[in-house]
This record gives sequence, structure tokens and C-alpha cells, in this order.
Amino acid sequence: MTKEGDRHKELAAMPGTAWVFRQALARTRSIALFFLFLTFLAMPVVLLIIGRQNYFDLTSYMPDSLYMDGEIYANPVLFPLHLITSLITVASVYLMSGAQFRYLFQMKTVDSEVSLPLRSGQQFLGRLLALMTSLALILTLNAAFTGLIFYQWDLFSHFLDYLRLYLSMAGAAFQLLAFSLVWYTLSGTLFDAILLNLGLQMAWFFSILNVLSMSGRLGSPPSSLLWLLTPAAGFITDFIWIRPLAQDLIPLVFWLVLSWFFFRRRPSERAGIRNGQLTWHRLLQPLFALFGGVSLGRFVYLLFDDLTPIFQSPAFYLGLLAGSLLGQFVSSVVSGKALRKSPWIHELLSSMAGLLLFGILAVLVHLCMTPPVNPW
Amino acid sequence: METQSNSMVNGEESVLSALELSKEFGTVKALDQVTCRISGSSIFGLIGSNGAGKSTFLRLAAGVYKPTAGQMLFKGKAVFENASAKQEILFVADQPYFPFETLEKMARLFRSLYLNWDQALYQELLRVFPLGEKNRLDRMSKGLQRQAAVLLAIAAGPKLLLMDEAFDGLDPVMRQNLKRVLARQVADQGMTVLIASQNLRELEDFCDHVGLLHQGGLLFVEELDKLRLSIVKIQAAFAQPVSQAQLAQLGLNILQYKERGSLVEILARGTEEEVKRLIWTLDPLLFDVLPLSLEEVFIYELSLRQYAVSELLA
Amino acid sequence: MVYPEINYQSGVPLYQQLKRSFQRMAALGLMDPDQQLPSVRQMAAELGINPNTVQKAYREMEQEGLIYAVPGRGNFLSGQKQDQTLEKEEIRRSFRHAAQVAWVAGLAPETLHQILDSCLEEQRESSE
Repeated sequence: MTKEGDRHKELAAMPGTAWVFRQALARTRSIALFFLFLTFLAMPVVLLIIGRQNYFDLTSYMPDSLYMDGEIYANPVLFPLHLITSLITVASVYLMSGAQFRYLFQMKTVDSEVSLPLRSGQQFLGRLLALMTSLALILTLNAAFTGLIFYQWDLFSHFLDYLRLYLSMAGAAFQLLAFSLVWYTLSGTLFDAILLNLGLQMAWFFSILNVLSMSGRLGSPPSSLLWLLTPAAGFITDFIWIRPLAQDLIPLVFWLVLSWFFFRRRPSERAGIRNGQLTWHRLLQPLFALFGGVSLGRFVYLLFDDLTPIFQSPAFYLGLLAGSLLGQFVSSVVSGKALRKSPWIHELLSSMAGLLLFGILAVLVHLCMTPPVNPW
Repeated sequence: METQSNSMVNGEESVLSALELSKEFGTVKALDQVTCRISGSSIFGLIGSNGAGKSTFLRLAAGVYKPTAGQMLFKGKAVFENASAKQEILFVADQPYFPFETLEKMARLFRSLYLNWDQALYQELLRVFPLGEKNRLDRMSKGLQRQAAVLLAIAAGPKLLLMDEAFDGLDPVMRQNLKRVLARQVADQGMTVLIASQNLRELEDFCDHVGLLHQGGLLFVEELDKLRLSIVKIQAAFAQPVSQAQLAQLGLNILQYKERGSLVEILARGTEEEVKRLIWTLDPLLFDVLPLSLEEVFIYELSLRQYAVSELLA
Repeated sequence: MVYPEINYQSGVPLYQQLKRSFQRMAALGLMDPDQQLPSVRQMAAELGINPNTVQKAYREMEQEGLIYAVPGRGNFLSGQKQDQTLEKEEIRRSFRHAAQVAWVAGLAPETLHQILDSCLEEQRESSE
């Protein structure tokens, strides 16, 4: 029998978050290194290949930058490289986070991990920290290398100007990471988690875009929080609407807190269950009804009736109605919901909720956003 | 469902206690108010057919599942989310999963994680079990994989070892080796082993206690020897024909009475000595005590509770 | 160290087999009085038997006087002659019944003697 003092020492010696962190880092070491290598190729190496003279010539030839407000700088050379790096970064977020949390989706891996002498909080935190460290390392090393090249070229100011955009991309990447964690912790299969992750972002982004464009308010969003459900938008919205870096923090914290909460409450037996069979999924389906409705409505409108103002076009509303039902249906089927068991009234109500969402968004956009000033 | 408990053996506190433990998956009730106490230094067999709730019980004991109602306690504390309890509980699944490819790497993982890891024991077990430390675990047969999982689990020095099917897929030599290792750990370290199985035969000679699970309910828990000794099968022949009523009048608690010509086959409650004593008062010509398998004991125990064993052990 | 033989197929409970095996070894002189029996641990590790089973057997053997325990040292075979009255009674009954059956079947007494002799011969041969 150990005495109280020994017991305390034992408890203190017990492996915890730090242990999980080390294991998690080791788990994604090769993936992280692979993506580091890719980002190196995409920017520093390409710059080296282009060489100082060519770079200078290319950027002096077109001194105007590709942006709107004079804050974000992406010259004709860095801009395409930036886009490629963004793509690589997005891929790295999905692959690394998937590697850390895929154990949640199979009962045998859940058995193995959850029976270990660790608390769920430690498992989550360790893996999260490893992910953030890996991502930060990739982004930092890439930036450092690129910066070094510009320093050698005596064009460090170019790099400093570009850094603002790069940091914005980094912010979007971390947001996307946190956002992804929510769907891993909620979903029953990896397929559903990724599908929902991508589907939700796409649905939200295009729905909002459509509503804005329909309302003629593409130029002036009140806040980047509009894109809350589409963190990936952060990689490209900077070229159209700039967002202060601090605004990245709010969604980041929001998604992290949410995923922490969901992770702690996730029952082990969820492994392998399709999302359509989980209760929370029903709450998200109106978003897909919204997306279906707005998209189909717009499409039908353009096809048959694009002379009337859209909000007064019956064609649009027909398409909206049909589209919302379609969107609901598709999301039910794709998520593995047992439609035979689900009362049709639920599906109908969900579609209607999507329509309601559209109504609310349209009203909000009209009320809270001023139309851009007519240049004439 | 009627439940019994085997609490406090030799004054030892129970290592694992289930108290009105229930687990539901949606509308499916996998375990229904199971109450059971398992003491230290014991080899406990949890018997039941597929879907009876054995794996669910094991996972609750391992802290993988959270109880829907009731409690699953290890040394008096809930197992779920209890890292220090899990230090002493090791779970060997029916199909073990290994996060690393070789035993060597798995051992390194366990060593860094389990405070009670015994490297010397690990090395010794490597010599006992014919498993190469550097061989790929995923290329081994299911039986060998399970052995590897057991090896790792034992070397981690658990107080409670949970096994989903211990001997399935092992040849007789491996089986005997495994029994030796497990028995030694129970003797040496006071380890408790909880084996869930459909196969009574294998557990018959190894467990000291058994519990029978059926459709989520624990039908009974009993010390194995008590179960076996509580029923006797006698074959006797008498000079004068003897009726069942006559035997019953002697005070014999007859469960089954079969006449085959001049031979009589009786299944009676009581110990061998008692029954012998009673029957010999009638001066039988022939008297044999026939061996009863545990399965037969179960059949009769359960017929009292109006269950068809074919359902339970299918 | 002498270990008992176990027959897993016989259907006889293990702890009874252990008891009988030790009893038999003592009776045959394969074990000497005051000889040490294997420890519970040794029995478990060597034969793969549940240590609780071994303990149960040892406890009963101690109660019946077949063995005695020395705290800290182990279990030892008793020196005293075992009370064999119960066994003799059983054997007497078995013979009585065999004789009755033979009588009823019409077997000659000589045949019965022959059967007994060949049985004893068999036993003698198998224990050598």
C-alpha cells in the first residue's frame, strides 16, 4: 500500500496533456514535414528560381497591386504564389486534423484510446496543441524563409508589405482548424465530418453571396463575422473585403470553445454512426434548404424571368420553394438519414425553416447594410 | 430481473462493482440494472450469448462507455473519466487494435504511459509467448494478436484485466501458456481477471466465479464450485423397483427423474455426500455419480427460472 | 517438487481432483510425511489453475488433516495416518453390490475373483 505522499507523487507523475501532445506531434510528423516541403516549394523555392532580377522586373512592370484599399499588398508575383500556398495550407489543415481525430470514428480505435489512463480533456488539448504547433511551424518557417530571401535581395519592404496578407491567411487557417474540430467532435464518421465541414461552408458562403448580390450590396459587409460559417472564405475574402486581424480571433475562440464542449460530451458509441441519425444534425439542415432554395431560385429566375427585379419575380420564389425542399432532401440522403422513419412533416418544417432563414437574411441585409454609392 | 451479488470475499473490498448499472443505445437497452461485485484475486467469467451485453459491460468497466444510469465503480470510484483508475485497468478487445506496428513500439508506448509497467515481466513474457518483438502485428493471426495484446496488458501490471474472449483462436499449447501466466499474476499480484465469453467449456476449469448475462440482465452470479456441487447426477439400480415418490419421501430434492429399464437417472439438489447418504438407505445394487458439465448445471439452474438455454447460449 | 495430475476432461471439479491426487500420492508413498507441497503460486504458474481453486483445496485438506500449514513457510503433508474408515466403508459397500449383481447375473464366485485380480493387476501396472 502506498502512503498518501506517494499517491500524490504518483498522480503528479501520471502522463497527461504533455504526453498526448508528444504522441500527437509524432503522429503527424511526416504529414507536417510533407506540407512544410510543399509550402517551401510553393514560395521560397519558386522565388529563388525566378531570381531577384526577374522578380524585380516583373513587379516594376506592373506597379499596381491586386487589391482594393491600399492595405493588403499582393504583387503580380506573390499573388499566385500566395494562392497556391493558401491551397496547400488548407489541405494541411484537413489532413493533419483528420489524422489526429480519426480515431473517434471507429469503435476499435475508440476502445484503444479511451481505455488509456487519460482524461478526455487531456486527449483533446494535447491533440489540439499539436495541431496548432504544427500549423504554426509550417507557416512560420515558410514565412521566415521567404523573408530571408527578400532580405538577401535587399527588398525586405516587399516582404513586410506582403506579410499583412500572409498573416490574414494564417488567421484563416487557424479558424478553419478550429471549425474543423467541431465537426470531428460531433460527427460519427470521418466521411460525414468532412462532408459536413465542406458542405456547410459552401452552403453558407454561396447563400450569403447570393443574398448580397440579389440585394445589390456586394460592396460593403459590416463585419467579416458574416462569414462565420465559412472560415475557408477567409483565404479569399481579403481580396474583396478586408478584415482586421483581431476579427479572426472571435470565430477562432468560438469554434475552439464549442469543440471542447462537444468533445467532452461526445459518447464513445457514436463511432460509425451516420450524421443523419444524430439529433443535432437536424438543426443544421435548414442551412442546406436555404442554400438549395437560393441557388435554385436564382437559377430559375435567370432562366425565365431576369427582367423583373428579383425580389418581385414569381419565378424566383417558385425556385426558392422547390430548391429548399430539394436542399433538405439531398442533405438528408447524403447524411444517411433514414428517410422512411423520419416523418415527412419534419422534413417539410426543416425546409420551411430554410425559407425563413432566407427571409431573415434578406431583411437583415436590407436593413443593416447600405447600398454602395452610385458612381454616377 | 432478479440479481445476486458475491460481495466481500475474505473481507476484501470489491475491485469492480456494478450498481444498478444500465446502458442504453438510443432505444436499445444493452444492460438493465445490473448489480454485481467482483473481488480482487479472482477470475470471473461473464457468460452470455451474442448481444447479451458482455462487451457493453466490459467497455463500461474499461471506462470507454459512460453509464446511462447506475454506477460502475473501480475500488469504490467511478471508472469513467478516471485516469488514475484506468492506470490499473487494462482492456483486451475481441479484435485488438495496435496504434503501432510492432510489439517493441507498443511496449515503448505502454512503458511511457503506465506507471506500473514491469519491463522485466515484459521480457519474461516475450520468452513464454512465441511472438517476435519486431514482427508486424497486423500480419499475425487473430489468436496471436490477442496474445500480443494480453502480453502488453499483463506487463502493464493491472489490478483488473478485462478480456473479451480470452481463449478464442488459441491452440491448446497457447491456451495453457496463457492460463499459466494469468494464474500466476492472480496469485502474485492479486490481479482480477474478468473474461467475457460465450464458451462455457473454456471457462469451466478456470474461473472461480461466473455470472450469466441475458438480454442485458444479470441472471445470476455464483461461485463456480458452489454451482457444480449444488446439483448431483446419479445413476442407480435397485433390487426392488423404487418410485420417484419414494425417493422424494426420503427428503431428496429431485430436479429430474428418468427411468431407463432397471436403471434410474436422477438429477438432485444437494451435495454428493447428502444424496449418497439418502439413496444408500435404499440399498442400491448400483450407484454411480456421473460428471455434470457446467452447461448442464446452467440448463437446470435456468429451467428453474423458465429460460431455455438454447436461447441463452446460442 | 511434486505436482498433481489434472484431467480436464473428467468433469470432476478441479479442487476435488487436487485433493484426491494428493491423497493418493500420500497413500501410495509418492510423497513423504512432512514433505512440502507446492505453494499456491507455484501450482498456479505450473499448472495454469486458478489460485483460488488451489487455496480451496488446501484449506479443505488442512481441515481434514491431510496437510498442515506453517505460517510463512507453506503447506506440508501430515505425518499422521489418515483416517480411512470412511473409505473402507465405501469400498466394502462397492464390493457388496458387485457381489449382489454378480449373484443375480449368475456369475460364479471364481469368475468374480478373476475379475478382481485382473483389475488389481491393471492398477499395479499403470502406477509403475
